[in-house]
Amino acid sequence: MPIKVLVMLVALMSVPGSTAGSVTANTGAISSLRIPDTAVYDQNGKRLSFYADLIKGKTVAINFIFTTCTTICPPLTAMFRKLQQDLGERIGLEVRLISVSVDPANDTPERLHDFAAKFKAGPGWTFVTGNKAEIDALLQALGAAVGDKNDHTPMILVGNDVTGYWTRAYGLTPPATLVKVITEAANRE
Amino acid sequence: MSLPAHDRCTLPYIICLASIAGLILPGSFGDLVFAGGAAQYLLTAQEKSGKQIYVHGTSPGGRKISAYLGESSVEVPGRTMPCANCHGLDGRGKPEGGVVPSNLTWEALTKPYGVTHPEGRTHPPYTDRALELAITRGLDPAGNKLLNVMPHYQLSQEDLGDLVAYLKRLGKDHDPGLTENSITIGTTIPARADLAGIGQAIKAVTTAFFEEVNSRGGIYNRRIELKINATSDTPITTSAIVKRFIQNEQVFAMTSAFTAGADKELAALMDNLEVPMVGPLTLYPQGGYPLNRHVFYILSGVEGQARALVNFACQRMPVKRAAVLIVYSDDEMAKGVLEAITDQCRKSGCGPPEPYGYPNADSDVPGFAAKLKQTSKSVIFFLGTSREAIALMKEASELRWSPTFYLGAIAGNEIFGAPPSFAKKIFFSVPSSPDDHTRTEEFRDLATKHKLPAHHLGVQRSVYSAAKILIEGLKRAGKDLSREKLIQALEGLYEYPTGVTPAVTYGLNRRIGAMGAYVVTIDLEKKQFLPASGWIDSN
Ligand code: HEC
Repeated sequence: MPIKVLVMLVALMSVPGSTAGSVTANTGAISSLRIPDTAVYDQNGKRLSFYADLIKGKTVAINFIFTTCTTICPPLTAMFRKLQQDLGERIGLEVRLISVSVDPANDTPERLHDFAAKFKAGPGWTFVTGNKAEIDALLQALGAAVGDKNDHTPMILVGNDVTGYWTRAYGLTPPATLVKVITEAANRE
Repeated sequence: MSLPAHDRCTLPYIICLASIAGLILPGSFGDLVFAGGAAQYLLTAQEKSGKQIYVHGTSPGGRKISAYLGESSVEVPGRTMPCANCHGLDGRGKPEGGVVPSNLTWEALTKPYGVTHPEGRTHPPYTDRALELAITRGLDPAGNKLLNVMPHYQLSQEDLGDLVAYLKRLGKDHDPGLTENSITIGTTIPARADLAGIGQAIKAVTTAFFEEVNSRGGIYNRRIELKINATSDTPITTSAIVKRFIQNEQVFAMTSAFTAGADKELAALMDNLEVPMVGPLTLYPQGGYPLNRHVFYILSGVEGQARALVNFACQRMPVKRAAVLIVYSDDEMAKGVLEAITDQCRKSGCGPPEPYGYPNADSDVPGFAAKLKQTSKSVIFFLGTSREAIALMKEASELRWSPTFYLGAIAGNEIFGAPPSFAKKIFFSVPSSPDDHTRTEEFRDLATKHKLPAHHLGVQRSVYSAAKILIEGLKRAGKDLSREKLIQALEGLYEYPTGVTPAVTYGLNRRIGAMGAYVVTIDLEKKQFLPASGWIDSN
């Protein structure tokens, strides 16, 4: 069942990403976001409920990848890896990283597992795939739906479920800046 | 309908191979003769080194290569960010998510009047030094900062020199074994004297098939040239010999190589050399994760067949949840099958099975049979030889107990000696059946025209289907052929009819073309094999 995420703060809506050269976080808060409780699989083949198991009560950063994407996804994932290191002990407890596959038909849990291992993804960072129709609906809800997976924009969704604050950042935002964005999301009243 | 006994060993070849695969004996073979001429690589040694950096992001000299991303704040090993990832093997760039990696072919970089990119960036032609700056500092010849998706690299001066040397050849070199008018395909035959018939079959069918292709103009005007080598007496030496063969003969891709006995080693070798291999003759396809992208199997091996058998057995069981017994001989071969059966029982909802090791001494078989009977289970998966299966059946029959036997990998003619109480109670699976031979006339015509040998028809069909799949892949890969394009073309095969095997499907995650089996039972009276099921998918 979809869970309505209440939005506390409405700021200027901007969806960056097309400007690949952007260096700043270029964040923009989002006015309304409903995060569905989609049944998904993680990289270990474990069945999870997207909202209940991954989002609820946490601050999260979500990026969108697929394992056969070689130009943009390795940099996106390497950035997340650095972000994970920079977040240190906060990861898993307070903050979670999620990478959602935009190619669920091909990205089996095993493929995601290999991909995650290649980038040394650690605990607190979940790779997500599942039934194509359901993942498509999830992507739609997260504002990351694309017709052609190769056109998917490098975007990171940062949010705090407790306060309902959600914002977007450019996928290749330097990790130090992203840590600030995440910290800000986590500390929102 | 009965299954014809088409080989000397009367069963489909894959089962015959089973008995072979376990028997790789050391010794007995002399040195192999190589036709190998001097290697004629298209690239110089330096360019080859550069290519490794471009394609894999690793230094041939083992030196460190690092990539820096996002304003240089993130350092990753070069191998996670090879140039080819973004710029493509052909250098033309792989645009994704609005990111357009530049065309890196030397002509594009050195246009005499410079380059103006679509987004407005303009710069004079590249020089060696300018390339170095682009790679290490992210600057173009006009001093413009490149987008931060393009990593900065830190690498030794020597590696940088090699890389730049290769960039000048980028897009113009091609994979070994490929020329304007030829494609070199290799195969490997068994060296053992007692397997000479298999070797002859491989050679005869492949030669005939390629002759036909060539007589019709080849593939995009390229002739297929076949090179043949032979296995050696251990997996390690076989792997070393095949490696030398591929390098010396400049083999573009392999077809129906006899890999039984060195399956792991040869599959790893293909992955390592990045040589596509279609339809190796083996019982043990290495189709698991992490996926070996380079090897395309046609039929399920023993594990896939065992899984299909489990699906069949579980469906027939009156009480779905009834546990089954697995009896296994203690060897390496049985181990993988044991795991496959256990896993498939779980998936089919008829597990968990109870495993029992077959006794070492014949004198212990009666007691063993009694012990099994006490479990009051009625289904046995048996992973051992036919002789062992029959010994157990005989004891069970003494005890007036006749559970259904599902035989794993091995079956042979001896199985007709099973006690009569096991009539209709013995099943095993085969990866292909006469029903799959939908276009045998094509195969028959080839046999007649080229006077193919009359023996090892099962092997011949397997070799034929491998050649057919390979040629189809080469056609689909197009004129601008590369090993990578061949792999992608093969991945696109969906329900492809070879005419002599079940239809073949590959995909990004799939390297076993016909994943499943037919279940066969035994008519003990007429001493015949009878089909017991249609195609059972074990995917
Ligand atoms: C993660 C993707 C990626 C990888 C990996 C990558 N590049 Fe690039 N490269 C790009 C993009 C995107 C551009 C275009 C930048 C721009 O337009 O500002 C580019 C531009 C370049 C240019 C500048 C050409 C011009 O248009 O002026 C050179 C030279 C280059 N890359 C060489 C390399 C080499 C050599 C490697 C490997 C050592 C490599 N690149 C690895 C993405 C990549």
